[in-house]
Amino acid sequence: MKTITKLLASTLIAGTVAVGSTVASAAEITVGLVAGLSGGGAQIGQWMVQGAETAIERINAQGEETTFKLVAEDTQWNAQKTVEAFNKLVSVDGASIILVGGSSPLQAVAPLADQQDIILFNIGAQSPAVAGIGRNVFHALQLSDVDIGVMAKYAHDELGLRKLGVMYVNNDTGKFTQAEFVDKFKAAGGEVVAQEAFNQNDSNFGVQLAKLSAAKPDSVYLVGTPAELPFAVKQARQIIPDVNIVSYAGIESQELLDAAGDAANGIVYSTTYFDPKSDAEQVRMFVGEYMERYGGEPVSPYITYTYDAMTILARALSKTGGEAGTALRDKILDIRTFPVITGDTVFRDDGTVVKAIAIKEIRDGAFALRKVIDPQ
Amino acid sequence: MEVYILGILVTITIFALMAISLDLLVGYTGLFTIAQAAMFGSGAYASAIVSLETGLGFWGGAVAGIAVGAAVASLASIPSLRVSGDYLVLASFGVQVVFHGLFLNLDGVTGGPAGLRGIPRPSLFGWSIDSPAEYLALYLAIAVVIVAVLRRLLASSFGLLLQAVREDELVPQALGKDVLRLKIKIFVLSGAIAGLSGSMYAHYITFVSPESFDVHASIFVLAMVLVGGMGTTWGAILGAAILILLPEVLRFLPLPTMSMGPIRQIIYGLILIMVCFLRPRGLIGGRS
Amino acid sequence: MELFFQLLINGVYVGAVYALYGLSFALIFAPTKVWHFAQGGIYVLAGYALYSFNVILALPLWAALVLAIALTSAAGAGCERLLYRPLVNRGVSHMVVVMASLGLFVVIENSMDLVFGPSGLSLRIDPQTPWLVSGVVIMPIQIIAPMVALAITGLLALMLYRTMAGREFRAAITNPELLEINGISVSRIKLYAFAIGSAILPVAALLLISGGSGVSPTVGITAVLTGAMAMFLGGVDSPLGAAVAGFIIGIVENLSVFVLPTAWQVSITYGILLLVIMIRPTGLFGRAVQKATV
Repeated sequence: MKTITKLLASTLIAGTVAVGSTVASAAEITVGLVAGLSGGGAQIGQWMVQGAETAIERINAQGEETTFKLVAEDTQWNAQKTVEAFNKLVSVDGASIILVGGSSPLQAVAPLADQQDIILFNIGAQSPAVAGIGRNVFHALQLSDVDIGVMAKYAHDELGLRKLGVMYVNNDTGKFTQAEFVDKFKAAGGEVVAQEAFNQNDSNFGVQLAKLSAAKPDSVYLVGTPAELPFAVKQARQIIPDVNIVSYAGIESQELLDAAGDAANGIVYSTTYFDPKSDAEQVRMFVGEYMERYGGEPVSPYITYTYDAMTILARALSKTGGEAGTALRDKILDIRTFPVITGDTVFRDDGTVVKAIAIKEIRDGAFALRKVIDPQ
Repeated sequence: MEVYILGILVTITIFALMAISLDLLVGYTGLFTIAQAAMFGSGAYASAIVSLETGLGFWGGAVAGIAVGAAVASLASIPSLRVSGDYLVLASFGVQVVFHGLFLNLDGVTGGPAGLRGIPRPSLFGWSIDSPAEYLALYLAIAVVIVAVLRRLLASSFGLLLQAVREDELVPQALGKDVLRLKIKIFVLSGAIAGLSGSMYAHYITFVSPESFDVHASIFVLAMVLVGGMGTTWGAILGAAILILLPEVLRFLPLPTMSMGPIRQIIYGLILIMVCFLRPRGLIGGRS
Repeated sequence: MELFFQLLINGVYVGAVYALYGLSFALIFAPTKVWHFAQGGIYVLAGYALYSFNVILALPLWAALVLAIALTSAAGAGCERLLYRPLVNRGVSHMVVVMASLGLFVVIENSMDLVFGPSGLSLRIDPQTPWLVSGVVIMPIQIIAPMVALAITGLLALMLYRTMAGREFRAAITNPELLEINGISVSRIKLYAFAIGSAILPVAALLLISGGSGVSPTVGITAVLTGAMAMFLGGVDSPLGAAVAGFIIGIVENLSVFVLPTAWQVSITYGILLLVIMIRPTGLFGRAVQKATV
């Protein structure tokens, strides 16, 4: 008992000392980031961190008065762990802004953020349920009712798809994403012939594909996490080869191209509009810095959301003189429009945004742009 | 800092109650099960649904949580009446998976993967419980009452009978005791407490979703009981405290953000293994 | 009707993989009585071993498989020698061993995540061209897998029932003390159990991967729990029973979807398992069981 107690005590003391040294200096703002960094879907969390780190490095290098410090916490996309992470970031690290990934996590901490005057930025949740859940919540990306609806209409009107099958991961994102797509596809005049779910971390989709195949669709809408998506794609190509595959923004990553190989060619999907080859200075800077830090092109949209969120925050904070809380909130709504690497971000009063949507296709192992659809 | 620490203490209180409920089965009666999260989750959902639908708030929800937790436990007890040992582990695991499936798929009732939110905070005689300090006061009071009653119960002949069953089922049977009734009773008691702690959880986080109640959660609680020391109430409490504090302490290790998640998990696993070698009877030295 | 056969074929395919999971878990559990949760970690390790040899070192698939088998077998033996044996020698309780196994599982899985990243990775395998047989899509691997599983099961059956070593192994399952008295080292048999049981895992992984899948760090828990389920269904002291049970689980899991929405698949499978255990606690082929004495 004694040895363990001593071990614990010394660890706690060491921890407290470490805490003392994590308190930010006067003109430094601590930004927290909560996302799943281990376990299922950890890849997405890592992309989010990358975007934030890249942005903060650039912002701090500009020599402004307000500098930033990022503290990330692993929530494993779990609501309870997010609440605990939130508490730690706010009350120990003194974070006044938190970037939150995940619909359930966001819903869990939104009331706390309002209570404690913390600004929250949604960096990856698209569930329509998160619209307007807090005074202090802003969104770096559009919610699913915007881009998924656009994709569904495009699929029906321009790709000429009529009989849709759906294969989706049975978690929060999978369920609402496919529900939205099905809704809008039907509204556009299409027919949905099958909806099959699979579990997170599944590696064999024979059951789902068998049922889909029996319904004879001309297209399949796929939603999954980076752990299953490439394999779902590969197997779909094998079992229902002549079918169009459409998907959502989560499919856009180098890791998917590597793992799915040729099977990924021909997939059409929707995402926030971002052109890594653009000549715009902001974009070139972002791509250059990212490649230098991480040695590869920034492909996943999750990288861009946190980058944009930080850009917006930095801009607004420079106008409030470094004051966060309600002042920051009001200032963001005041400025309203922010040019960022994914085009213009225009905030509505409830903090949600409408952005330009890009319809893209995977062609010859790369992501090619088909069409840009501007916000209404 | 205080808010953060108080928040952790609230979480410890909730999980300590759940660990105690599992210890009743594992430590006192020798029934090794991994279905505690199913009872915890059922209580949490029941409490959430009742308080959201009827406006009865935390107290109404807690009653629902206790009732549903006990009901689920009585279901879970059925396999234990037929099999024991390793088979019971598997059977309880089956119960756990089935219930998690219900939480995930019964969209109309549980909200499916999106869960239920806006669960009302407790209020006591018109006074709304908001801050971690207030939660701690309320939940600690509840926990103290439960533990006191339990200790009285376990010190009585009921407790002795449980331990007799743990050592060798045949003996109390031969002496004419109704072991079957006893097992059902202890399951129901365990489930009731687990359900109550689930209700407390729901009204603290104000949000429930299925991933908080999966097999990993059950294993987590089991680890608390083992690390703390089986068959002692203090062991369960200590185990809960340590396993909740451990990840919090690990937050303060300076680690590169990218690999921070897996590295903390690795350290966590290594510490579990270490405890198995250094203090296999648990930190308090419960029964082995 | 085509759907039924499509599901049946897929059921036999995944059933073959489950049979190997069950065989692996049972081979280890039967003589050692250890709840080897870390088996899930070893399975993940097997997958990444295949990846390392086949993709990083660019070896041909068969060579990667052979090397992966060697590595995984050694890892399994290492679990026995370095983790379980010392704990058991200290006389710790059953559950402490489970705890240690879980700790090891967490360590292995997250180590793989740390080294290889959390995304799914593919091996260098050409995609298979499926055959179309009266409206049913059959992939070659769906025929090969059951054959491989049967071959391995048959091989092990031969070893268990026709060799001296096999006889000792079976004795270690039911009556280890008798072996010790006769001067036969039970601890050596346990080591072999871990080595052989773990060696099966890369084969199972490759069979699954060949169907268009790959490696990722989080597939471990499903593999070990399915293996445990197969073992209990088959009967705790019958490794061959576990193999048969694995097939049954795969087929039932797939066919159940014929009448139910896929989202309920897992719940139904476990529900059926519960029912079977309640009705016949010995499992389908087992003899001894720890029955509740009431």
